[in-house]
Amino acid sequence: MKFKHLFPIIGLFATTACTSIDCSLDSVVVWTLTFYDSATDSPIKLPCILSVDAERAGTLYNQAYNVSSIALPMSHTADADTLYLKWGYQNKADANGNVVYEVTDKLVVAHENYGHFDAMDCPAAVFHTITGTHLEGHPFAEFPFTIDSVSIIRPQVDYQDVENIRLYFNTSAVSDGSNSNGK
Amino acid sequence: MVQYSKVTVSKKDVPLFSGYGIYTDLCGMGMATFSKWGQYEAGAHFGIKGKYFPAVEVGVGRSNHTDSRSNLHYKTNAPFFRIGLDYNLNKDLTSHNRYYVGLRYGFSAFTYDLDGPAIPDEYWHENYDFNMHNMKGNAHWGEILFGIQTQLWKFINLGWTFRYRARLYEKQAAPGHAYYVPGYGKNGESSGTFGGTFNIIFEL
Repeated sequence: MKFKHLFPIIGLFATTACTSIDCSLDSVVVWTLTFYDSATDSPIKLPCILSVDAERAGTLYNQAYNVSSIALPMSHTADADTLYLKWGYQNKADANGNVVYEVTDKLVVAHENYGHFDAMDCPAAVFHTITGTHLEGHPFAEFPFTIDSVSIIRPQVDYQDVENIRLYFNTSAVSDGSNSNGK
Repeated sequence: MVQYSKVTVSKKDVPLFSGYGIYTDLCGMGMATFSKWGQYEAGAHFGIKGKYFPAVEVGVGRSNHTDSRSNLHYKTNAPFFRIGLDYNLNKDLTSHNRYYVGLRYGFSAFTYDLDGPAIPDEYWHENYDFNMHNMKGNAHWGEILFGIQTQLWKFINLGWTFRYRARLYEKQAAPGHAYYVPGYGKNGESSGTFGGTFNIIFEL
């Protein structure tokens, strides 16, 4: 066996590490809020206008309508985000054409934040774990589209655009309320 | 005309304990000193009938690297160990010249620091300070290797090993996969990596 001939050949292959790591194509961290019918446990599309404001942040989502989910950002540093869900009729506007919001619900989403990285040459990100929610909803009499309950579906908030929190609605009088009150 | 007969050594002629050796990886040492990551390591093996060579390898892996694009800085300095067996493919069982295949099991428990630029929050207008220290992780991996060693002078030998490392388990800290696992190498989404050693071996 000609060991001294094999020696440099093998050496060409040795000592190299060749792991390839690609940065994530979806580098946006958002959480997804979905809308369900509490009676049927099935997805619904919003029959009215929803805008979402947050304390210290302003408007996070403007005028969602006829959608079954929305994606929202999460604070990088706070322990909880206080969100104001503003509801209005789709066909009711003021003299300037702006949506008139009838009622506002308060949804507090508690979460933990932690840094994440895929690889050294990829930008770092902030991921979150949802730890709890608290809802202060409006009465049915004020606006006939009320949140029945809130459920955390997936606490991890990362690059995956999947359902995180589900809102269950009482939808029994939605159609009637929307049509009769909207102008 | 003189005729030479081939001299072979049968297994029966090779003693049960057919020598022992210690070695260190010069390449890993160079990488640890001059590149993004590397390891100082040493190993020991002994021969059984010249055919089987149980081996133990221990070392310290280090990385102290700042990426020029992301400005992320990774730092670790932790021990690792491997244990395994080499199988000599050379028919001459008494020779220090060997080519062989082998298996290893490796393990490292480590901590690392990961620092980077603050991450801006476009909505709440507060930066997240990306400084994570004493992140704890550990990893188990298996290695399959091909190696060769050749005698330079008496008990001094040089050798290469070419290794494929398959990650068996990684306990991740909050940030995700550790960039570098001591003894394993560069780490990431992929569950395997290639590597190698350039050894100087003292064998008796």
